Amino acid sequence: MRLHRRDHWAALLVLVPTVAVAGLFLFGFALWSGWISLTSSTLLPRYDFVGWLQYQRLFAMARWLTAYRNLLVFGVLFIGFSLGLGLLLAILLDRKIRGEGILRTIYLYPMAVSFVVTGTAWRWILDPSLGLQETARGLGWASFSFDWLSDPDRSLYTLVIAGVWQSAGLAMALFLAGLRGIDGEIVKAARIDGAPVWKIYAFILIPLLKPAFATAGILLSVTVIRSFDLVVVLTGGGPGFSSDLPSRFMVEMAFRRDQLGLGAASAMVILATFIAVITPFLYAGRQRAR
Amino acid sequence: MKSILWAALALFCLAGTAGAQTPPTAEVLHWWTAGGEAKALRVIADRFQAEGGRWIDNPVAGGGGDAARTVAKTRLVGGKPPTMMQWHLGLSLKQLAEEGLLGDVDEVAKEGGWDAALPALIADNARYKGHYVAIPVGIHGENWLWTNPKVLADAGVSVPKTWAEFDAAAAKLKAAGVIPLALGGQGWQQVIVFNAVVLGTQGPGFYRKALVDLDAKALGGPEMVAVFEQLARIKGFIDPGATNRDWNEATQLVIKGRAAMQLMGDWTKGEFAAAGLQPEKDYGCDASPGAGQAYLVAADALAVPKLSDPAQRRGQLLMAKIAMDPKVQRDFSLAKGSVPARRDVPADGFDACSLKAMEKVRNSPDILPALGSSMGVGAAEAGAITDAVAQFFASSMSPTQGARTLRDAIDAIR
Amino acid sequence: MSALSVQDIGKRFGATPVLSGVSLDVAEGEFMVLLGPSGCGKSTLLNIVAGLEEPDAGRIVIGGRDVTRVEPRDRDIAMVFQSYALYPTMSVRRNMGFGLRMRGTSRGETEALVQEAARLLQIEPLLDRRPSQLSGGQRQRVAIGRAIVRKPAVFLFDEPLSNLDAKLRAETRAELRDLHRRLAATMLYVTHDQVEAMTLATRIAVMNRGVIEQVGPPQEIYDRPASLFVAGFTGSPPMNLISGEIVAREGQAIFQPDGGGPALPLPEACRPGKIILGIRPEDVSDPLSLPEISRWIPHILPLRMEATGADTHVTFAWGEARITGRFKPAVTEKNVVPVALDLAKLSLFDPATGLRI
Ligand SMILES: Nc1ncnc2c1ncn2[C@@H]1O[C@H](COP(=O)(O)OP(=O)(O)OP(=O)(O)O)[C@@H](O)[C@H]1O
Ligand SMILES: [Mg+2]
Repeated sequence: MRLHRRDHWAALLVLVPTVAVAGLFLFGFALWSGWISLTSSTLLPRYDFVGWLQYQRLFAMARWLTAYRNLLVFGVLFIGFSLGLGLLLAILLDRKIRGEGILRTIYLYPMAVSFVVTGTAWRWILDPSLGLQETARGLGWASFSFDWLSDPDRSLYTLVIAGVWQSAGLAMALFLAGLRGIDGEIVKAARIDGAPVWKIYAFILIPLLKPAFATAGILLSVTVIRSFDLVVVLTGGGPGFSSDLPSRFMVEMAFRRDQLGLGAASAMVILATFIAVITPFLYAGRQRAR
Repeated sequence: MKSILWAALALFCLAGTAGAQTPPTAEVLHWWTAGGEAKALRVIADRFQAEGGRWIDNPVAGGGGDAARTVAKTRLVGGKPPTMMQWHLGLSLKQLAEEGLLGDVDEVAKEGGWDAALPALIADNARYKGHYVAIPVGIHGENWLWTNPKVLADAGVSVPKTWAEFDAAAAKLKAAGVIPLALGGQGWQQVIVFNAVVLGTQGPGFYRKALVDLDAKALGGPEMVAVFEQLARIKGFIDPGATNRDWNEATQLVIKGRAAMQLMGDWTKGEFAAAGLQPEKDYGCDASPGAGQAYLVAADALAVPKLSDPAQRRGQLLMAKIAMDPKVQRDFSLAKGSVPARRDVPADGFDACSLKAMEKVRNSPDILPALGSSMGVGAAEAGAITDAVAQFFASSMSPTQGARTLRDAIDAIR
Repeated sequence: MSALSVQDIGKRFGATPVLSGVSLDVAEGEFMVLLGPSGCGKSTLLNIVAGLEEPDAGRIVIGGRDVTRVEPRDRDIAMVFQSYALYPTMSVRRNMGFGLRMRGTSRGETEALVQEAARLLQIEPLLDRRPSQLSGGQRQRVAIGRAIVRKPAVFLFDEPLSNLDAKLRAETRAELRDLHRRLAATMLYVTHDQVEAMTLATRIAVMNRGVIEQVGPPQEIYDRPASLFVAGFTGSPPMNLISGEIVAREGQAIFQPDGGGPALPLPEACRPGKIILGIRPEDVSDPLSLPEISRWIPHILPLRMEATGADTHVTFAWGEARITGRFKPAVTEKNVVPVALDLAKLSLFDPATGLRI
């Protein structure tokens, strides 16, 4: 679409405030955080310069290392399982299996609730003394054990379970929309070409879902970074800080423990990680658009 | 967000109307927004207005005060401070004063004899270089043992007075099929247990050395190993559902009789009261095992920002007078469940638990800062200790390793 | 033995019958065109032949083998779709080779067959492009290439030209005919375009509302439509259809159109009664351009003229009916009358059944 020159200016004029505000908030704060991360700020910002000291302290902290590793593990598993499960469900729905209505409700419903609700519900379900474990034992399965929530080596996976439950529906909706948008004659052509169903999906339909993958990947990456509420409500970062995530670490340091500099340094590392993760998805989306 | 706008608006109004005739004005930034807290603040606000002041309420809820404190810091640094702001006594208050952001209310303090009326710990922490930079309004205590008397009686045990007694009682309770100690597996709750163990097994002197002065010898010594040995025993007396349980859910376990005891601050009383229970009858409130008269406290206070507007300055002075008034202090604490910061407030009207607390605040030589109060160590150090304790609770490390983790955490922060 | 035999196929979607009792035999090497209006069930029938839909009744026999319950891949057919249905993420080369690879043909052999088909269709330079980098005509060629590379027993086409512009369509039509001759392949081709049908087909099957109304060579379909529907659906402008009555007068059968107008003497004896008379526009023309022995010159008057360039269509009022004639372009208002009808080319239909008498 080409705009007339005058319209172009009018459009720019309308956009300026929005862009300015967004720019100020996004880049302004990012720059400010970057600066603060190079200072010795504690309770209040202090504009001295201490180099990479805060980053050195950060990466010497066991809690940060745990949180950061958790981010990577959680991110990979959460995004992977959400995409995988979402794709599987979308394919099942696309194959017009029975019970489509029920499936859709079960998986789209969680999207309507917040991470706080999801986290609370799953904390009850996974609470060894209230939920699944107790119920199974109450039904006579005495040896049944599911105590991941109180197991420091496994509690992170409860976040993955709850997160996937919450987000697989989103991925499913995106994939289903993508599948439904594909010309049905392509599938017919592939059937006549002799491809079995799984090959039709693997070689033809799933590659066509690249834009949906990009969108879902970006949305899920954002969710990973925002998963603060889920951690707070479901595991509280615990037991200990075994399931802590960087976003919680950052809030804790910057606002509760009066360590602004350290908090800012962690924020910068989160930002850098986010950019690194999301760039391929954006690139995939862009490539598709061309 | 809304409250920030509101505050900004209020400031414009203040600037426009400042003058000799303007009544004393106070824009108060705080996070006392829930039931009892809000009622307590109303006590001060009502009196302030009754004496001709203009009260501009600016509550900022969220994050347990994080949001309010962030707004406050931003406004202080930006040169647009509120008249008064809720703050904890302690190091972070002193840091604000060090930056020259706080004024004082010395004239009122001298006149009101604050030095004599306040416990030494509280007075010391409300002053910076001899000037009162904050008004202490109430004291909360942390080392309480809450018990369900019926559950204790059924198991044939009485309220433990020492940690040895605690171990014996807990073992019996466990055998009787109840959870001996209701605990929420959140760092700050675990650290309350830790503080109580340090205090109860090693005494107030050691507590001060280790958790106030952060003395390296005390932190790394055999006493600390003994503390972790006791913690390890306690780990055997809590249930597996503790992970990330909120403190009031733990209290509910005690109320319902599924658990026998809980170590938690005096705010727990509110949970019992809400269930319609009477202190010393339906539930017990006692000093944590081995603490005796020693009391770990945190203080509610209103900080005094430095400002130039005369109406607001008069507002600060009037607030200081009112908030330290014995009757206001009494009503405030009655509503909030704390005890008055002043020691000369009449004790009538307070319940059995508060009376125990007031007795300590007035007469005990060992009024000590709770770890999280900021009156002993800073938030960074308290956080590091909390992380170490939480890590110990979450893992199977030995008491020796636990003590070493603690010392390393402190070393890393310094 | 016919290459493809459709036997008594019935199909309904829900309660609506889409095909009923459809039978069709396509001989070896024949170019059979299935012609019918939109929605009459052509694609459905083609899908059933391909095995993409299951019929409710009837059988499909290909090369003497009953394939009614056989998967599409095992029917030895290839299909070209209206939307081309190329695989967007694959190169032209992979698109064309996909079916062979799925059948276990080796990489080398596939490559050779793709090259051969590409040469035949002159699309060799396009082999490494993506479908999105091709024009509509080029995509169409690739789609055809994908079909011929496998050398199937029967080719199925579902309106393959309808997305092309008029010129390209005409060219591709010629190429398709050429291709058919060179491959000597059996083809079943669906279209709603009668010109396509007439030019391509060795035989046409005209379909209406899920029923085949007539099967025959194009000329026969054109000259002797078996039903009112076929008469109206073929030709441009379509056949004139005039309702009226046959009466016997002095031993001669006379056609009297409804609403008055000149009565037409029929060349053959006919049972009296209601009837519909059909005549192609080219058989309504200047008396000099029609054979003298069979022409009849009624006194009817022109209503309007429409010049198409190649010839001019003139509409006359004949009783209530309007009939269109085809004239030389030189015709004017003045010399359009008298007009003649060629009585040798009349078609008569029973208005009750719609069938040819
Ligand atoms: N899957 C389906 N479900 C229900 N009805 C269908 C389905 N497919 C086709 N139909 C209906 O069956 C009838 C025949 O459809 P078909 O696609 O065979 O028509 P067609 O002759 O190919 O028309 P066109 O020339 O427009 O392609 C139509 O009325 C259509 O609405
Ligand atoms: Mg069709």
